[in-house]
Amino acid sequence: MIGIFLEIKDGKVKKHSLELITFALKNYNSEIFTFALGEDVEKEEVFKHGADYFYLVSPTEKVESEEGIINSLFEFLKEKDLKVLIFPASNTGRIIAAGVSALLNLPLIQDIIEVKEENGEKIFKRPILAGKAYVWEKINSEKYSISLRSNIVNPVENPKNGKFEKIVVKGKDSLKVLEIKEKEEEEIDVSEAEIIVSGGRGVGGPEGFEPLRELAKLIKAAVGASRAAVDAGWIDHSHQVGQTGKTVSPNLYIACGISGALQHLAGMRTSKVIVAINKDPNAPIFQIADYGIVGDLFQIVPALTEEIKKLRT
Amino acid sequence: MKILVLAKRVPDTGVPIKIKPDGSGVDLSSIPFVMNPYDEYALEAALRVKEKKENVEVILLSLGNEEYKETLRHGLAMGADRAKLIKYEKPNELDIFQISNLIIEEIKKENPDAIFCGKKAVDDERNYLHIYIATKIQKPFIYGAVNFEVNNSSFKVTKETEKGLFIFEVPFNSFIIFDKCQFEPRYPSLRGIMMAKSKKIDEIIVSNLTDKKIETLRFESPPPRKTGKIINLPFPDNVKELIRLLKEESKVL
Repeated sequence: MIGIFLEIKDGKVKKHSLELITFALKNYNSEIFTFALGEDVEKEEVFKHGADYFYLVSPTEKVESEEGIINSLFEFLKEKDLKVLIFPASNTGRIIAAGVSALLNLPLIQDIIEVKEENGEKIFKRPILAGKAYVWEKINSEKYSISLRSNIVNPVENPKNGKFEKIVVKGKDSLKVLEIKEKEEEEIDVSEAEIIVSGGRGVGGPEGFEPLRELAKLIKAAVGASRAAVDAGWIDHSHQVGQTGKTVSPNLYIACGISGALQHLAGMRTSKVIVAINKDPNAPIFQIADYGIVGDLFQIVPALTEEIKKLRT
Repeated sequence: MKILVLAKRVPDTGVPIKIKPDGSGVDLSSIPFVMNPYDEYALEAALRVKEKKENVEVILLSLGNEEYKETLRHGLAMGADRAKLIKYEKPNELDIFQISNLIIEEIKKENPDAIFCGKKAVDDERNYLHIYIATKIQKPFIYGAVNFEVNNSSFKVTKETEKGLFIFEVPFNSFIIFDKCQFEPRYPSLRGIMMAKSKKIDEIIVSNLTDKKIETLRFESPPPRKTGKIINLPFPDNVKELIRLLKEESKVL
């Protein structure tokens, strides 16, 4: 059986997690055993995409820390006989994958973007050096875990009459939260977003991100940034795309006022479609963009927002 | 208090990388190397503890070949007390089990209170060795510290999440994994560089590691992207055309 860890947000299974079910059905001829952590969940989507089993693991005490989640999941998984475990390669998913694999003594490859068969064995591709290169690896073990990047497969419906069960396990957090500074609005994380609107030195200051945020809000995109903008203190590091930030591959990447330093290009070059908006026609970003507009982002970006609004009403 | 800082040597992030024509590896000749940037934040945090508290020893631990000594010297020049190098010629060929076993062995020998390191190595991006180790040795861990303070009896660690900033009270006996922080790592002073020359780098020699669970087969360059089109229309027609292309041609909007 193939085990898949599903992430839940606001009581719903995330799209990235549903992609894993489609991925498993495509690559493994086996029953699909899914599990998630939480109190309550909309389970229909999971069976619609082809899971045979869905277990909702509910800790006795609420766990917030990644360590707490790992221990709760281990409590549940330690007696199960799963051949392969698949995790979403999201911020949290990778951490859970590492901890659970360590406790179950499984070898693990993270951030997989492609799988194929070679000489009767599966081989896995993942990016290294922030996408400047790829490596192919194979696993010499019957049992193993992997984490899979988002937007690698499209979730496909494959309805099954699966079995659902809620399992109560021991739960405990070891770290104490002293203070929480909540964001005014919950932001979409760049590493999971399907669309990213990203700003660089050209935005000129913290307030220069405003038109980007407006566009992002309208098209349900995450706001990204280049290292130059983050180092200048205009936006916090969680938004940074590139070698010392996040490597992303959304369906659409809109680069505004980003010249395209090597580290940045490495981090976003696997995006499906890249749009560049920049004053400088010689900016390296235009060399990898599918569509480019040479112009002032403060004119172009608000106009984009207005035009899209018009089309939608 | 004893703080162990795990540090890796990596190619400078600003330099273009080439794959060897036969796909057997990354061509690292003539590339400058630096201490992994995230590990530098971890070291900086440890040095701040040392400045604030008495009897703090900061020890660097690394796994690699002779060249790693240069990176360790840099850390000693920043202010670490001593360093340990688990010497293995080709550290990037080891898998997660082999590396974590070697490091756990050293952790057991040193028995530090806290262990600090960066969230990922910017070269191989395995990106999870620390959690693997922390979970195996059952130390409480926190991933993604962006700010850090030391109090009388604990650390105060800020971490970024989807919901906002969370500030945790973290016991001294923990594994802290650093993201890019709100403070900058220091540059070694001239005095620091001089002093580093007499600081000790212990070597632990290992060889013939077998039973590899994860095998590297080959490396590949990313496929080149074809150059796209510049929309050469006056404003606002260029914006309208862009939206049309995104909707009709590439169907992403």
